Amino acid sequence: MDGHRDFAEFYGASFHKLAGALYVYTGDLAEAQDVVQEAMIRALARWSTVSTYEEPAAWVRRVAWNLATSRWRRLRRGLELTARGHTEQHEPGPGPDRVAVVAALAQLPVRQRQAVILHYLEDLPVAEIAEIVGAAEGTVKSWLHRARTALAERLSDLAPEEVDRV
Amino acid sequence: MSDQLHRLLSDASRQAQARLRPLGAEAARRTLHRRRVARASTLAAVLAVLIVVGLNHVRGQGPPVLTTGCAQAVRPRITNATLPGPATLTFTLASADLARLCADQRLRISWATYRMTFEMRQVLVDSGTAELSAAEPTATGSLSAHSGCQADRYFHLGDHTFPAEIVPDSHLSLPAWSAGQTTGVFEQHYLPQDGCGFW
Repeated sequence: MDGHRDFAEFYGASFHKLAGALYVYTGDLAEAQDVVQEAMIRALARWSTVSTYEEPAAWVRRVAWNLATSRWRRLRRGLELTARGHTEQHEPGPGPDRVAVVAALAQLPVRQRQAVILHYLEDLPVAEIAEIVGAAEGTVKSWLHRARTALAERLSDLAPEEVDRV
Repeated sequence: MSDQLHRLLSDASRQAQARLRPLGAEAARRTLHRRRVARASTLAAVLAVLIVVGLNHVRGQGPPVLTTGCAQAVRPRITNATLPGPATLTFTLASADLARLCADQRLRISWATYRMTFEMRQVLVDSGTAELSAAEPTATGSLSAHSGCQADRYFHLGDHTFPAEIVPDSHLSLPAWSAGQTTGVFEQHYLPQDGCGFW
């Protein structure tokens, strides 16, 4: 199996999950697709190395999340599209009834939102989240606590008494 | 709450995934290829500019390039410039200057000698032109014998028409060359002659 076919297989198996998580983070489906595609391109550029990792998707996830957080990337992307004469087209996301949690997340500070998604959606342990976002584990725990408290106030079907369970 | 939050997030993510339209691995490969080509092109362009700048820098430090204006740096050497006639003037391009000539460039030197009359007028004795090139780096001119004192001698790089007579107490409007210098690099000048009462 050549490197490209390996990559295609990896792409097919990983893209949706990564982009789905990024959508919850950004609230923008096109943006989520864009950053995951960019992260995939970067993975392909060094596929001979990334493919040897125990979990290549973790590498792509980290790159995609960094890209999603980078304002510079958004600016450059906008300039590239403008130069190519493209008009930004936002993909329609899930309907309003399904995005209450996304809307509630959008009101959280960025760091808290990252921590919540990486922990509760991507099932990453606090230590790994701390490594990804470059913060201490205690800080990540604090973000998770505050985020859950805030979400509990905004989403009525969440039980606040479980807030401290991390 | 954790389980509920996990479920809500998973639902939102799943709903989004159903609407995803990935560009695909092949598109990623094409984009990467395009970027590499663009990067290589940019690098090649930068290298080309650096090479041109570097060459110009090197040329700027060495002999002038064979372009318009490069002749400005080339000056013929003239021997016997002040020798009384009969004699032979010799115009020569130094070997180092040959490489500094423009392609197919020819250097023309116009020259003239004058003598002083009893009435203190300067009259033309000899004149001529000499052409020098890489193929013919040496040329000569003949100085004839004449009566009276030697007066001005002019060597002009380029074409110049010299008058048959120069009025007393004057010189042509050409820069003076150091008095007493008999050989060397010339462009345009007059040659004051020692030993004649004119001065």
